[in-house]
Amino acid sequence: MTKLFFTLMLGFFLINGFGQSFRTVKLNEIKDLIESKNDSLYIINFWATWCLPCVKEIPYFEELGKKYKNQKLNIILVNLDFKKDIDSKLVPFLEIQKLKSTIWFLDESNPNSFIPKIEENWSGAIPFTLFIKGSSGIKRWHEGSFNLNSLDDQISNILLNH
Amino acid sequence: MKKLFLLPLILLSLSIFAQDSYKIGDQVMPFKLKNVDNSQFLVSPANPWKGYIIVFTCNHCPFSVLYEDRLIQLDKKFRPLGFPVVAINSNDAAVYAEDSFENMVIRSKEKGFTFPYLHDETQEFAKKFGATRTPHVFVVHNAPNGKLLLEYIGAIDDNAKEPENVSEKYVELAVNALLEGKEVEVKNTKAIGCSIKWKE
Repeated sequence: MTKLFFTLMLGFFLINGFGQSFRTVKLNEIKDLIESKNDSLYIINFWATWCLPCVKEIPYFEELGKKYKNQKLNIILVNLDFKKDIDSKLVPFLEIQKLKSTIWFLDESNPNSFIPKIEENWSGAIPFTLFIKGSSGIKRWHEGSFNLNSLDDQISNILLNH
Repeated sequence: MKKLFLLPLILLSLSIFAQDSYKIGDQVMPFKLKNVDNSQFLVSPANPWKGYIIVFTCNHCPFSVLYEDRLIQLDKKFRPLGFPVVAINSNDAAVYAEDSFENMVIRSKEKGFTFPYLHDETQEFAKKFGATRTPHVFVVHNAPNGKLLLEYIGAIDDNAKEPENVSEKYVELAVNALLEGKEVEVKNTKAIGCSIKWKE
């Protein structure tokens, strides 16, 4: 029992201590969120470490996640770095940033196939953000950057009115 | 309340913006932009080209950089066949100084671009074409009716990071079809890329 506890603790330390606090997902997990009838607001932001405007707006997602932490709000930052760059770019980035939002790595190889399945209107430029609240039939999309106010407006509009 | 009032306006302005840009099959009007050699480069059906591979790109974007060698290869392959590459940078240099005209001149020389690299300083042509990311390709055919027609919008191929593992060369397929007088099969593709940096 002690051994099991120790192993679990070690595992926990390995995952968190080395900052690999992201999960690798396939397209179907994102589709499940988009199609869910849940009454939580899901914000799905597509980003990469090489995308400066993406990196710049991540603190806004973090801050508003904190501001609305008592509301039904889930923020998922879906990373689109190259798979080869996970260890050299994504892992060090996450170690430094210590983000509170959920981080996913999207493991899909054919952008021409997965982009329109996520949102027909998305050209593929990032940052790109989806706002999903299935129980109210809400699916909004935004291609381009947010500032703190414009992101807050989007979130509060959905939380207050739907 | 104020926010509620604004939202439809924002959505409306977005949809108007989208309708303005060229669609597949549309006539592309002739245009002129400043090239890195300081000349005015003319894209026109009056020129003796069979068409143009127009690529919105820039200096700073890692995806654009990944495709620089492939753009040179495309130009070397298709310019002799009548389909040259024409690169256009529409990014606001206030966002990335690397994307300034001076830096375009330097990059073009350093990389040995075999094709014109034009500066869309007002961003008029990125808007007209509906370019949103870099790189973003628009294959234009100098059709027998004397008009430039837009025949393909999208990605260069399906693997940005590993040129050796590309399975679909979308632009080559489109240009080859046009050269053979056939219809382009895949007219629209998508790829991840850097957003074009618009002026505020």
